[in-house]
Amino acid sequence: MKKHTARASMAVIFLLQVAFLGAIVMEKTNLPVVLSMLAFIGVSIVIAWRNITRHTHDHLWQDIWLVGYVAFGAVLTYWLSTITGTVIAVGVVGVAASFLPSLIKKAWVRSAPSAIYCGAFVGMTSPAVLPGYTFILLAGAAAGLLLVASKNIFNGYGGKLGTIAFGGVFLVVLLIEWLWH
Amino acid sequence: MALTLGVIITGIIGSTSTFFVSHHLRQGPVRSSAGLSLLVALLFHYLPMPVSQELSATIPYVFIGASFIGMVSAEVLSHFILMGLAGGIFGFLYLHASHFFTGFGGGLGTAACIALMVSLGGLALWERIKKR
Repeated sequence: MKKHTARASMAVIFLLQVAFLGAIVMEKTNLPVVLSMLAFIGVSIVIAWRNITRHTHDHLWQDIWLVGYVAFGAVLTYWLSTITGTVIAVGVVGVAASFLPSLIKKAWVRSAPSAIYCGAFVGMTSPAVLPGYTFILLAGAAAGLLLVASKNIFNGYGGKLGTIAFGGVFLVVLLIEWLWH
Repeated sequence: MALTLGVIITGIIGSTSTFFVSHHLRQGPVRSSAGLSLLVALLFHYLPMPVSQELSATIPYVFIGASFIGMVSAEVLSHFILMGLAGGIFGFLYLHASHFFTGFGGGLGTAACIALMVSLGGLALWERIKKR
């Protein structure tokens, strides 16, 4: 089960990276320098993917807290960004979250900073992409589930939280598109 | 040209400074990334900067995106030069990111993850060449 969950979440992260790079390739077909650079990036990524280490932590029920943390971080940042601007909102939420384990010395708070910070990235979404708190909450919950599923992969990789946030937003945008059309 | 250079330099500074604060000043990845990004955003929001308005509006976003690279653990990557390289590649990806994903939360993180993997892949390739 652990193996399948890890494989599935790796596949999701791989597809997200392919979509991100693929969209650039589609838009820059007339720019040979950009395409050459993207070819180099593609080759390097394939080599890096072959060396990714996996861990074997259990997926405990306590991890379900992460979904709540991510959703909370997303909604809080989305709201705060309407007052202060996006980067300031993410910074405030991230700094505040980073102090939580020192203030509340409970086991269930230990993983809160990274999960709330992951949610903050979801909250960076423009209202033109996800209009309203319900969609942000949904994207946060989807990102939270992805975060739980990807517990055993990409540990310690910078950008993992952002990729997961991107996955949550992407899934909800696809859902909206599917429902509306 | 000034925008391109500014974005790439910000990418390099964002990734390396976050890694430095996280590991050498022992502040942890979340506080380092969020704290430094908050500082940069506040500076560019409230103080007049000797750069164009476009660059001034762009730098906080590039910095926070590059800071995600610096959240990497020392077991995965600890070379400052490779960290800077990843920051520079992040700048390139930021400049050429597809308009399709504009406004998507987490897009900066995806670019950061890709940039970091390019550095890791480059390192693995270099070590393989050296062995031969």
